[in-house]
Amino acid sequence: MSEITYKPGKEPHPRETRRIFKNIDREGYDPSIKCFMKDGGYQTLKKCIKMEPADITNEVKKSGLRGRGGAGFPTGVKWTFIPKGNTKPVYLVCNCDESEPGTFKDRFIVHQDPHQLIEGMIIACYAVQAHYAVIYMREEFPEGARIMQKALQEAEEKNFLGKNILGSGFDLKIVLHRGAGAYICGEETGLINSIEGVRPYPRIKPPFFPAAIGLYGCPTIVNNVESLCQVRQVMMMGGEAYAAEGAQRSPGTRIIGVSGDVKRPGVYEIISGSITYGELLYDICGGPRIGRKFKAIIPGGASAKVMRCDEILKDRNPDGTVREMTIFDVPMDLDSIAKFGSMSGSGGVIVMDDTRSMPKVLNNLNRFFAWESCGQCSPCREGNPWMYKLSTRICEGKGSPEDVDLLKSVADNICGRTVCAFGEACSWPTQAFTTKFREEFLALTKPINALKPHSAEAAEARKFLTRED
Amino acid sequence: MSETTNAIDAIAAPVSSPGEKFFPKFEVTPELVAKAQELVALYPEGKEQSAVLPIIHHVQEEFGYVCPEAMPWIAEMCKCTAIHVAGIVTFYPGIHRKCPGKFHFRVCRTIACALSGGEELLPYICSKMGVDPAEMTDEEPMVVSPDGLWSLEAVECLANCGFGPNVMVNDTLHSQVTRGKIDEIMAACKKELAAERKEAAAAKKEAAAARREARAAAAADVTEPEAEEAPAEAPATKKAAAKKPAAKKTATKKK
Repeated sequence: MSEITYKPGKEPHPRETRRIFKNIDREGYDPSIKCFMKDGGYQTLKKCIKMEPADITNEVKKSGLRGRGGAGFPTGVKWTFIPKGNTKPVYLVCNCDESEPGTFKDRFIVHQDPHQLIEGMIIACYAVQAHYAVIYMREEFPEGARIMQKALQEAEEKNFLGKNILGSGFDLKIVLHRGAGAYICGEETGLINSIEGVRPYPRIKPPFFPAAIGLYGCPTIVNNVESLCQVRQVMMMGGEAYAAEGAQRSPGTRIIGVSGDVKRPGVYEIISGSITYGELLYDICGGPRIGRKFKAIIPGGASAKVMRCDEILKDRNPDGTVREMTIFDVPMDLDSIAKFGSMSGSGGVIVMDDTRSMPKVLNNLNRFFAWESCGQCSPCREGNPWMYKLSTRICEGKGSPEDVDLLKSVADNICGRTVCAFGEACSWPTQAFTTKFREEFLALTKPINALKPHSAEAAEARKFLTRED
Repeated sequence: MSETTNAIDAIAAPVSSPGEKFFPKFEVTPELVAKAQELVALYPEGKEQSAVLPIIHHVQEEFGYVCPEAMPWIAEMCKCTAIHVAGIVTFYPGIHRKCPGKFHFRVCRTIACALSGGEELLPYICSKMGVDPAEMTDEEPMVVSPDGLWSLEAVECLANCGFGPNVMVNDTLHSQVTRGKIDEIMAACKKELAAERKEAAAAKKEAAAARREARAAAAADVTEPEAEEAPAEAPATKKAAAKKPAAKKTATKKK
């Protein structure tokens, strides 16, 4: 499609493959349904609504599409988890509570191409036979909410939503529900609680797998914005064609958001596994800023474990020999980075160069997690502020060398002891930073600090414990 | 409040803020009830409680914040208890229990924005607004300027990480913000306020003129309204005077 032109300065990089982002920053494109339909919009829906719902699910399963929210669970398989012989209503929820630091892909879809998401949602709803769906949008997108509301209305006017969609006898209502700035609402069961109008504490799995017991106790499918747009792509291309492209275990395109210390940060859509981290950062993003060197990369949103750029990673070749490489040689798909102890998550790459102090970066992350912990489980509720206090103390030069070990031990004791995955999300950064950049942390500490009281209150209390002379 | 205030009383206690003068006081009107009912109707039958958050959002949009008096009303609309609503209100960082200023600045301070200098903006904005940065704590991240015009809140991730530092002013996101851009934004805000005030003043004058005309028409006297209007015209600026004919037209239409 050569006729597509983009706004000046916003042209995609030659190594990009724009599918989901085809209309982002496109010249003369607006979020109206007219514009979308002129470009072949809702044609896929017209095709799908004539198919058997099970065939759509099979097609998505065949495509090998994996969720783009972070966990990478196969979307088609998720849909089949609705209990057989279910008599309750089925709900579909679109998770648009994009709040993982470093991830900012959904923003563009919602603000510039909302109909793409709506079409994907209708197809997904038809496949799982949901007649009621919710778009859970984060509070920080007020403009996006207005655009989406208008788009939903437009779709309803054209009978893509509402009763008897396109004469198929299928009814669907989509409601836009706005969050209120809580990170935990991105967790699917927390999100469901938020829609139910109770505090968004995550529910314990099992038994509360949303596909079995979700919204209002009924089977609920929770999919990310990008995943639902990908569903539309799958149905457009056909499952087999989709599966043939990109990395074998995570086919299709991926949207990568790059932020931090690179020349050209931004969002890029690439074929999964087609390029390496090095190619992404040096070719597409233009490399480090002048006179600087890359130091560390967080490869998949703030909760992924940080990778050192000078770290030697050992991988096995197909013939069994050991191959040495660095993070820059790791291909950008969902699994490769997992072999080296991190994760590709939601595709938010945060880059830090050699001018950055790692303890300060960790301190910032710890503040984020301390602020966003929902407070349901004590290890996380108490542990996060503790880690924040410890890292602040180290950054201020008031820490002792033992504090670094204590910091890691607090993180180790949160991990795996909470209801939801937030426990892992908040402890992984601390574990990785304190192990991989231990010397930087130690350099800020002094052994004498172990003997000093850390706060004014402690100094006050200490008066009664020591003899004054 | 007395010394014995417990946690629930503390939630129910009003928090005063200079920003309140820019927002109407919470009041249950038929329109508000209708809007709430419309929101409740979006959710499946018997699930009124789901509308808690949407109604809270609406209240916050209309009145700037969720005051203690609003909570029992919201509870009534959603068929739950007031303390349940209080539980929701206190949970989310996006819901204010204290009225923000006319122009509410949200500055992102999470990693990506921090790497591009978001946190350094905070003291600068504080000094421009005339607020004390020390007032901003982890417990109460929002400060309101004494004139109620500005408020500043340090928030976590606004999801535009590639283009930091990000600042949200009311509903508009500004990315790649520098000190110079802050000056521009604030100047634009002031201009907006001045325009709004002028409009409000003009509307007030227009309404008064229309009322006078209506009265005059009722009296059915041609000479009297001219005499009555004269004192009103004296302090009016040229622009207000220019608007007068329009007011007359609308008034005649009403007849």
